[in-house]
Amino acid sequence: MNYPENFDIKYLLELYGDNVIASMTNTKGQITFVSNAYEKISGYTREELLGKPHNIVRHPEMPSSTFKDLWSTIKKEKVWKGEVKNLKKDGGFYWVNATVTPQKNEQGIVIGYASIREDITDKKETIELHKQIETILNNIEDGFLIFNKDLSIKESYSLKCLDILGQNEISNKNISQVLFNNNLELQETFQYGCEKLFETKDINIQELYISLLPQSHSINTKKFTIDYKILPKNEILVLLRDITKELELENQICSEQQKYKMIITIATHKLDAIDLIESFKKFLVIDVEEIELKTLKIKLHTFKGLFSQLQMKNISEAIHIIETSIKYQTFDKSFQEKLSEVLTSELKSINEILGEQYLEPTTSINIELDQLNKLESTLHNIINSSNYNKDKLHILLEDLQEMKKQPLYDMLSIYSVTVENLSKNLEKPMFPLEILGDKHILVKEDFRNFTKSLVHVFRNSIIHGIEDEATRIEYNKNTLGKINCLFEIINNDLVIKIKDDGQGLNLSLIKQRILDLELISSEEIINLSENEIFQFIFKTDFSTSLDIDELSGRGVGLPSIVYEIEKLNGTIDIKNKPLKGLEFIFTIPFKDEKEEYIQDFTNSLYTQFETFLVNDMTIQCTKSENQVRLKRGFFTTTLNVTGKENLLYVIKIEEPLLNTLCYTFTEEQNPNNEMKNDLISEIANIVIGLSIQDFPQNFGIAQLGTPISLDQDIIISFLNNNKSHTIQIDTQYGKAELALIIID
Amino acid sequence: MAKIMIVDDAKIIRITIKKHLEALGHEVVSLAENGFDAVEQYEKIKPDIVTMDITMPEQNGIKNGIEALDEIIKIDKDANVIMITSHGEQRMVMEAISKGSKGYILKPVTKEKLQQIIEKIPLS
Repeated sequence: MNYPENFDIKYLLELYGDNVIASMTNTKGQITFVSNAYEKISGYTREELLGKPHNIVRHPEMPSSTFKDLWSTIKKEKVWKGEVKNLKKDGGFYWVNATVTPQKNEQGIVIGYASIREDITDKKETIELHKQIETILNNIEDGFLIFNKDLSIKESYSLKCLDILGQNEISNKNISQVLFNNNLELQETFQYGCEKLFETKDINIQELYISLLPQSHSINTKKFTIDYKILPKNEILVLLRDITKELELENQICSEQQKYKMIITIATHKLDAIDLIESFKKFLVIDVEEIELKTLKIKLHTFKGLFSQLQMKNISEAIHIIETSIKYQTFDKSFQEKLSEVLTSELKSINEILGEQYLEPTTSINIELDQLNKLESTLHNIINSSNYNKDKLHILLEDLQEMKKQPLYDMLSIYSVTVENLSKNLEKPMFPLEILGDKHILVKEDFRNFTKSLVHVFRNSIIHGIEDEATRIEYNKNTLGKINCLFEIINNDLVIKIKDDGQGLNLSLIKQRILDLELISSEEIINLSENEIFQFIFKTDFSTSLDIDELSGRGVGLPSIVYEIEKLNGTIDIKNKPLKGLEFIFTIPFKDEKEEYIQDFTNSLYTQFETFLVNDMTIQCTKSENQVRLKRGFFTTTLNVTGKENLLYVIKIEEPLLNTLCYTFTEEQNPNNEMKNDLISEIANIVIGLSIQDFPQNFGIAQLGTPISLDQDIIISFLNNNKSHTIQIDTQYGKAELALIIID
Repeated sequence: MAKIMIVDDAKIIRITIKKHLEALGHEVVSLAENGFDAVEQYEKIKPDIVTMDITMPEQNGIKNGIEALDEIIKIDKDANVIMITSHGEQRMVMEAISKGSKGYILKPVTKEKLQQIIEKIPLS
């Protein structure tokens, strides 16, 4: 065999060629030798490669600087090492770690280069993947980190962690100290929980411990939530989410909500608001030196309460701060200036929405329905754009709709003009229209269509009911015709009566018309009552067909009233006195929603109270619902309940009954008053708590306040001035009373 | 349907939990107002599940719900004890779980919370 001079290397390369990716070139870089492994990885055959320049496998992504470096190294007859990405014949690539060695002949002259390579494609890809994942993680808003059993944070964490935790570096630090640096108690709980967690292998128990670890925390100004995931190999992944901005937004929305709450309360209690603001303005300019501190305290406290009732929270909070400063004797005499600043800014937001003059005491400006509608749509937008406190905002919306209610009296009073004009046009002299009814009765907007349709009643009365002057003299009637309109609430109905003193309906004419139109047969008509016959004038066929004779118009338009009143579930009756007059009676179901609502709720409270007495205390009881007035001498507790309405829940128990209950609870024969008060509060809590569960549809968003003790006189004055419902409960040991009072 | 013992020093809480459990179709077989009674009754009645208030006044050397739990687990290592807890008691609950409690309910106790936790307990 004839070996070339450098046979030893080539021989070795051939020998291990199946496994070693090897090649040799001449000094010009032309390939003179490739190993089997080289052929395999590059995808070229030996024949395709021999004699070709080595850059046949150069990958376009490789920077030319690498090759410059390679050549300059090997030209200096040194060995070059480096990582190279190569191009396969099929366009693919492979990464190698290459070592290029100059080959010399016996004279020491370089005759070529030998290169051996290690395939590092897999390693390179893993590193690449790692880099990608790292980039992704670093760009996610949440922070990720992993810690192990020793509570030490691993090196790979996302950069966001540093931002959230306010650190420069966290790897290998103690997770507990990094997360809860400022709170030793949390640190202790966290360490204890982790220790226990790593002790068990039961995944369910581990999850229990996880649920007990701190779920949120704040460091400096950053607030964040903490989620934990158990990883294999006793490691825990921690997910940190920065919620600082979210909370700020939430606060912003809350204050926006508060603003609207204030506006609506002020709009519904305009006069109270004006009075309060005026007297507060006066208070802000009085000479503080001249009043006793005690008086000042009382005044401040009263103002605080009143502003808080009007939902003017910024002022009431500002007053509260001043009150506190008086208490701790850090009282600043310039408090009036501060309060007046707050008042100015509150008034500014009110003016922006309700208009400049709304709260001016000298001018009275009504809010236009348009403005209310605008307010309503703004509120709708706020509700739709946020997930916070949706329920509470709906209460505001209801308040607003409540505001859109109008006095029925106002809706009807426009007919004074109708009557006056018609009487002039038809030359039938009339008394002014008399409208009698409670001006406080408010009706919803959907009532308006009905009251509008009543125009037909008034028109028909004047056109066809009221006789002309001559006829009236003939019949010995007052020459002036008269229409009156009366409305009142009878039981749960709103009754509107419109009565004229005209000629009334002519029964026989109507009968004839019915028969002419063949609406019913002559046999059938005999069996109908007068009232039933009159109902025909409301039928569409009847009225539209009458256009020429004297009944014409008597029915025109009346079907529209039927249409409108049916929408309100109401009915129409007619009282006819031939030659003397006609009366329309409209009856519309009209319930006081608030009253109905507390009745329902009080009954639900009673049911729970009864179950409690009978099942748990084995005390039989009976109920009487006669709006009894709460009596003195009972043990009383009150709970504030906020929800759709602001309620005061009063529960009173006669002493002997309370003693029995105390004994059943604690087996204490002689309970002291403190125990009794505690017990009655607890009973109130359980009864109302259980009752709310049963009563979600009207009280789904109720919140229970803490028990408060109110003076008997205050409770009684609340009862006298507000809508309320009381239930008395009789037992063999004594009476108990439950009352709900709506606090407006 | 499970046989359940309720342990709580406040009668009002016992009544509330009892009402909820009965509404869920379970049978309340015992009411205990302190840890000591609870341990005694557990031995006699062997209920399927115990709801245990974590803070109760000491009775005959048993200081609180955790100690009662400890004693019950000594009698029956597979006992199903659920702790009833308030906010800020996480550290105690962790201790209870490490001693064998099967879960916990954060007050206020509601029917839904009871249902959720009882569903998870495998009853033999």
